[in-house]
Amino acid sequence: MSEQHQNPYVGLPETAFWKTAVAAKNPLEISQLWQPKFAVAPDHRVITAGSCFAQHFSRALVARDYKWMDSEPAPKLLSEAQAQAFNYGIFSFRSGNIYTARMLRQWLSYAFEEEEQPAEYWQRGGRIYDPLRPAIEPDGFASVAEMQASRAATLAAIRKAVTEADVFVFTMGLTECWRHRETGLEYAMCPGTVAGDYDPACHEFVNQGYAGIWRDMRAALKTLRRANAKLKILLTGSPVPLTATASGQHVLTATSHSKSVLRAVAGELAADYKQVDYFPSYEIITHPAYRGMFYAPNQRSVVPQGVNHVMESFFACQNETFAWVKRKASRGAKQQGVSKEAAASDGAVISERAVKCDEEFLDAFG
Amino acid sequence: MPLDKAAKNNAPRKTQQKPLRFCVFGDSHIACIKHALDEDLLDLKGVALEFWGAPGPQFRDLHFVEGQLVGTTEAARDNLAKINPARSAALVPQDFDGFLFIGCRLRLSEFLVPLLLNQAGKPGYVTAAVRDLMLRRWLEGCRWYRAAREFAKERPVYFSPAGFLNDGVLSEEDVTKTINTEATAADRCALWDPMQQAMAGDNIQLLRQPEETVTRGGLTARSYATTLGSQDDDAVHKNGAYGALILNQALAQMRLSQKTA
Repeated sequence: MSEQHQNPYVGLPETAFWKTAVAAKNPLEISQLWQPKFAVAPDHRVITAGSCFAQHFSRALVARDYKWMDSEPAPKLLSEAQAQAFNYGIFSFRSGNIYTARMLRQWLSYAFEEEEQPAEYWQRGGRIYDPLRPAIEPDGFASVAEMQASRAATLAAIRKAVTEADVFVFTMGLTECWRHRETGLEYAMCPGTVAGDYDPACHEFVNQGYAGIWRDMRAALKTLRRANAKLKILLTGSPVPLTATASGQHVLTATSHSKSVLRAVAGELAADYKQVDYFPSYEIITHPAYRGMFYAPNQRSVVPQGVNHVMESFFACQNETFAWVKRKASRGAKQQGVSKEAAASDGAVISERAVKCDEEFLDAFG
Repeated sequence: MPLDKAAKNNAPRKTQQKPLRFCVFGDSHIACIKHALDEDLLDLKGVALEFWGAPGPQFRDLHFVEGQLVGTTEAARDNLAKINPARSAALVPQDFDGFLFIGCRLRLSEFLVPLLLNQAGKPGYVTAAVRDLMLRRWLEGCRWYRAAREFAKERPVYFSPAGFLNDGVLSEEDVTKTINTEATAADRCALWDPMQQAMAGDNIQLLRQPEETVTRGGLTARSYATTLGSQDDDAVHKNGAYGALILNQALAQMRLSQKTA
């Protein structure tokens, strides 16, 4: 007589069932959304890059006395506002937003693989703009040589950040991009928006698919691994919808498509690589269970309360999984009060300091 | 202190000209000018030279109030009385024909030195636009520079920032970290130029650190470092030879501008 087995759903935790984990709960009390693979502790050196939403990570880490690495810090003589205007302290290096997997791969190949950098540059009003980060200097560069020297400094900063960090938080943002038809160079933004001239004979729209993003991310991970075998990668997805789409679809469905593809790649990478994890900030903001409460009236911008909730969830999940992280965080934050204070003040910081987002420029050209 | 020496140096002339009334203002950096005076290294022909200022903490108590510099504490006023008894109450721009502001907490080590270190090709490289913002903040952030700007509305003002740190005082490890020992005169010039331009915009004439006093890219040669006390622990102050180069440069420029005026 064969042994009787219970069905696999019997005995699963509460989080496995919609009714108990979601439907029966106030959305703000939905918990244990993430079971982190690795600890992110206060003494870990964390670097951040990617889409606009990555900036919230660095701010939350800094507010809690975590070691966020700024490998291309602003000169001491700049004011905070000036530093922000020149994109210092936004990400761990002055790459500007890295919206796509291909852009990440490009940056890493220039920094680590000795891949030849593009000779292309853009112009506007007698100033020079870097196609890899056209909004990095508010008024562009004085010369091509200055643009190249500045980019070289950023590549050095990327090398320092990647080789010295413990955790790399990368926020995946877009699938849609613009490339040069011949060289294949992917631009941070469509030529002709911030600077440069759009030429349909030279420039093509590409909506990256799952396979291409998967390949680019694998290549990027390989480069990162070679540069720093101990580096852990934490992927997140930007919950911010597209500002505009060139796909021909409605921007709402184009957003769903892009985000779904990115979410799928991130999930697969986290499943396949032990050093890669996925943190569901995207779900916390976008999922219908949260009833859109974290979006501003334009249904695009994420309100500070949303960012706070995401980051509170991040630290809560870390603390639940790794008790020692909680102890360290408590010590580091000089008792619990400071941690709460930091969380509370985070909102104020976010509301005072606009998130730097190149994509916002598109609004002006929409 | 009003100096008889200046008058003595004046050769008798057929037509008696009024001496040029010139004041050196600053913090402890005015000492190098005083050393130069004591060592008779200054060209004071036709110049009545005075000093006004205070060292260390008392310098912070000198404030620009209603068009003049005044000491706001008793300690500062006591110090001023020692340096220039006749003018301990205030330094009034209209009382002189020109001024040298020296040191005054405007330090090359906070602006020019880090920029020299981060030339093109170095990780901390900054663009000209960023450099210009830094320059403005560096100048505006120094309240004695702001006072110099107000003085310059009334009289010619020359400004000599606190020079490069003295060679042989910093550890070699610190030198490696903070000084571009390969920096050339051209590299320095490329940074002096915008500084000069920015100051000129405020009607102030920059006195660059003389090239002959510079060593190892961004340090002051030991032959221009102070000889008072132990040279091993004073990275900042300069000697009379340095002071002479600075003041003689200021006076030469002032005489030239008077001639051409």
